[in-house]
Amino acid sequence: MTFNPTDILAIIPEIGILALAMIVILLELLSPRQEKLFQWVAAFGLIAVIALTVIFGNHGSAFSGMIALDGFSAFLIILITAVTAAVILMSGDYLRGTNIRHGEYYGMLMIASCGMMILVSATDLVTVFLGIETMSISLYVLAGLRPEKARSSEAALKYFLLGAFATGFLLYGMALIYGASGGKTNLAEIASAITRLDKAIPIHLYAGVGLISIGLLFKVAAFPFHFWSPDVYQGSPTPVTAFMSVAPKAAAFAAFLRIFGGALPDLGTVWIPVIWVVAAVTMTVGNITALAQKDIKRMLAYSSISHAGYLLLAVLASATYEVNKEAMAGMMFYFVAYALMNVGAFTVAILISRSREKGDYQIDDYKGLAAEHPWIAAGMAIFLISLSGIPPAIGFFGKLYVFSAAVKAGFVGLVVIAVLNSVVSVYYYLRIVVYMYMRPKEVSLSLKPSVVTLALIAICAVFILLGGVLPGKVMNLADQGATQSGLEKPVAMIR
Amino acid sequence: MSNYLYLIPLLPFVGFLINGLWGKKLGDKAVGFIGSAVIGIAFLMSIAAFFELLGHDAHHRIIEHSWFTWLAAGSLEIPFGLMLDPLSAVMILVVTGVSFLIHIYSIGYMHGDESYSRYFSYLNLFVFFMLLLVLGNSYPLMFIGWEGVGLCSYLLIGFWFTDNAKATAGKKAFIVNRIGDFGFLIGVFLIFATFGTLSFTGVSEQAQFWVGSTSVIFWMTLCLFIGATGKSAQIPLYVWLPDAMAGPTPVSALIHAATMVTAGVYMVARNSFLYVLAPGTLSIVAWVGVLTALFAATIALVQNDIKKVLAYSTVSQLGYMFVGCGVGAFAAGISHLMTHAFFKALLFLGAGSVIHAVHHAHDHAGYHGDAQDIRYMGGLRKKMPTTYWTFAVACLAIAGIFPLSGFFSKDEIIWQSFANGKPAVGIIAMIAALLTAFYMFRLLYMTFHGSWRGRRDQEDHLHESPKVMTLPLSVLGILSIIGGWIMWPKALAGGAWFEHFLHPSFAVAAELAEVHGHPSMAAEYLVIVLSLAIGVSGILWARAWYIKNPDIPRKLAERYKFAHKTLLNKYWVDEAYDFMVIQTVIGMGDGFWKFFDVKIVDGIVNGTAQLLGWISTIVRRIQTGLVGNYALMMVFGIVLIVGYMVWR
Repeated sequence: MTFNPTDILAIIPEIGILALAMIVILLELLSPRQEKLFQWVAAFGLIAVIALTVIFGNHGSAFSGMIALDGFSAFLIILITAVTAAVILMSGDYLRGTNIRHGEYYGMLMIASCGMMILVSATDLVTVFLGIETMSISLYVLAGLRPEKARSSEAALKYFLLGAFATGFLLYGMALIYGASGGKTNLAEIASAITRLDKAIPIHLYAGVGLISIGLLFKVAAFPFHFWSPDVYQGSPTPVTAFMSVAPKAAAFAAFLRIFGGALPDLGTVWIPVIWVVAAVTMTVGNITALAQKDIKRMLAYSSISHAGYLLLAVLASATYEVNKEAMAGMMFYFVAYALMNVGAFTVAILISRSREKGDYQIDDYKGLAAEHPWIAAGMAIFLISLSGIPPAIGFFGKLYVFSAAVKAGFVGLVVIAVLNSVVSVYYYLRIVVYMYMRPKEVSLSLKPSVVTLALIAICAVFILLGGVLPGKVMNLADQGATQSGLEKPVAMIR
Repeated sequence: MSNYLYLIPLLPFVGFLINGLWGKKLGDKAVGFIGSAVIGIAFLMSIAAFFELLGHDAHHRIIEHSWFTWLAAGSLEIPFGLMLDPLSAVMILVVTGVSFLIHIYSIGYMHGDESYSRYFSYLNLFVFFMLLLVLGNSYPLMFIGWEGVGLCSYLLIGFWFTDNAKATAGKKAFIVNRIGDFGFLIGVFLIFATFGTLSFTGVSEQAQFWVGSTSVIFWMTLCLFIGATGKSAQIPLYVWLPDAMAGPTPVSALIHAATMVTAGVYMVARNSFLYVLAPGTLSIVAWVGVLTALFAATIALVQNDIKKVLAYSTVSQLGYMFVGCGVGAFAAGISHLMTHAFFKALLFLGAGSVIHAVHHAHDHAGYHGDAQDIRYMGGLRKKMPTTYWTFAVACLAIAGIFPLSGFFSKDEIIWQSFANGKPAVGIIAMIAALLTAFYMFRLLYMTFHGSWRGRRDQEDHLHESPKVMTLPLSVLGILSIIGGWIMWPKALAGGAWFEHFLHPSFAVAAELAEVHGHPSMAAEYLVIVLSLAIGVSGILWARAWYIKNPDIPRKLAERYKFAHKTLLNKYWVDEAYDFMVIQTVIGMGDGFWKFFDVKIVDGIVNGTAQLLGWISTIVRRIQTGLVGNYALMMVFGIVLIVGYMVWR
């Protein structure tokens, strides 16, 4: 273990966002009432973090292989930072009606993002765990930011209890793998240790793989570890829900891909059948339960569960050497699409709910929206159409790339299930479109959207359409990222 | 300059966005100005691009820019790129140039229409798609343009959609075109399956050394040609074009005469390297073209609606262009495309000017009659001198009188038919040329000569159209005269410059084509003299019947009642299609809907939905909200997963 001073460059984004979090929290101490100021400092600071990531994005492995700032992690760090910025911008309106302290809240969001950044660039079980815990603990706090609301406290407590439960298994799994691989925590070294073991694989290595998969399946909210997510999504402050539905998921899936596609492809015969079944059940349960929801936050929670099911296809495909890169690029593309449409949809949901007296999130509130607010309804329609995966929205291409990688890796049956599931999902997404355009309004919504809210909706909608018409642009970036990733197929190198 | 090639299609698109989104707020003046200005700038840039192309040495006259990969799926990769070569350079000049004049004309023609901004935004959108069609460097891009112009055509034919007949005409155009587009798509699929690429240069490189089966080439070119018969109104899919005259007259001039309908000809010429590999398809192209030319010309002989005559004339002239392509003289086909764009746009705009004036006169007299029936016109020569003179020039050009533009291109097509071993096609084309001269001058004499046959109280209100309309007429008039001079043939001591300029675009085709013996110069002179004689006699014939002895046509119509009725009713083709195709399709659709759709499809869909809804309410109950239950479920999952992995 040697420390090379230039290694610091590999964690520049993390350092940047932590510093920014401190600055915002300190600013609030110095001048507590400058809420707009914190917001803009945070937003511009995050842009600076993105710039830093672009500059140092190709640094490669550092800290003796603990962390890698490569094409894959840089891409996702930029995405996570952008989502954080969007969530901070959409929070302004929301926070004004509450007694949440703005600076603290922004700071906590950024610390969570810092954890996610560590997670996406982690190439060692220790850094994976560090990232997951930094992220999760901040999220528990964020879920319970409104202690005066029973639902918010309930969400935080549930999330924390079940999260701690799952973390135990994750850590136990890591320990077992550490033991079975002869004292390795580095992902590449684990891969080569497994290759060397060849046929004589100890039983506790299998148990370790199973337990790690459980920890990660909990984080991405896959069946049967998803039960927390609808309750937590519903109870948390809505901007936090928007954040939770996108950024932690992207981060956890990145770790999933690095561990299972990068370190454990040789054990594919063990874990692929499990993940196969979990993926199939997750997307089906998510979609079918979403059909019966009357609250838009819960509906989006179940929708997010089903999307996790689709994304497990990319994890499965990544175990096949030939389509490894394609699966990675497909997942990266998918998260761009998913971030755009979820941020957009939640922004609209916050806007609508703020005009209701009790601030609730009934789907019935969307009836007749198009007649009163045609532009907002059009934006929402674009987000929902993209979520259901209908071209020319970007969501279609996200699904196309992930599914096509899975088909190439031989998971035709699962892709058929996924496509059938997409058909089911069209019902609950487009039901809202039907409500907005074809039902008479029941109550008049007097929306007073701020400029920032409108801009967010417009930006998301425009990029969804642009990405749907010109998917090649985004796909090229994702491809480049996947090619420059540190996931250098350790298996192939050693063989 | 060529680096900014994409600005040429982009400008009209920007115009579309501005006029479409804010047109109502901007006011009519600004809308007309913006709509015309974007096209004007695009025209100037096209000229610049053209001269840049000329600056290259003749073998390297191709500028291709691929900006990015538009779509990638498996081995299919579609780059988004534009290609400027002599062929597309000619097309963008014609499209932007004629469009610009027609946009200006429209400022006057559409003045006061309540949907003024909608009109200009559609027109801009059309130009955008048309430019994409001719500049795209691959079949998918061409197809986008192809579909896009079809959409705009539909929107503009049905522009006054409150009139049911006009909305129906729009639908008819769209549906008939869809039939052709289906053929086009299959052709493109065949090309991808055969060559594994969809870019023009890629396919052309492979076609150059093609040693595989020629039957697959035959089918793909035939499918593409089916697409062309739809878009360019050839037998059997020409029926939509005459009805398309329901749109505003400048639209007829731009879309249904000068540009969109020639897309099929452009497409065949663009694929010259494939067509020469399939002599069978080329013969079909030539014969369909020449028969359409003759067939449509016979119908035009007796029509009384000024725009209908011009519509059938367009169908007929498009036939000539296909004859040119079909006999392997692609440059001749494109020459006629260009000269036709000038004189036919002029004829339509002239007709628009007449309709405008007559309509105005109707309004003043408080009379709501048909403003397009030439039986109730006449003597407009003195009332509308500019319109008359330009219209007369266009008639001379289309009749093929030396040295007007139509002479050079039409004569070249007829001559190439003989030179390339298809004399029968050449003879039929000559007969059609005779009819063309006759019906055009019949139209001219009935409209402008003699005396006013409408109501007395209208006559005083007839007057020339405003400057903004007559100016484009004059410009097009000049182009109709001199536009053909760049094609001056070698036989008449010219340089055939245009053909040489286009040659690089057809070089591969020329290399692959069957070589016919060099026909003698004497034969070419004979054809020139003959076709000139035919043009003149057609005019004299019309003069004899409509100026000297106006009784003859009426007597003939009475004596040969059946023949006259057949022509007047366009051979009852529409009725036959309705009986054979439309009623059958409607009947089948009805059956499918009532049985298959309602009973089977809806049954399955509704049943599945109910089942899923039922499962959904049950699954929802697992979500109890109790942390203990959740943890228990997790434990089940953990036991199952770890158990499976360990004791597998």
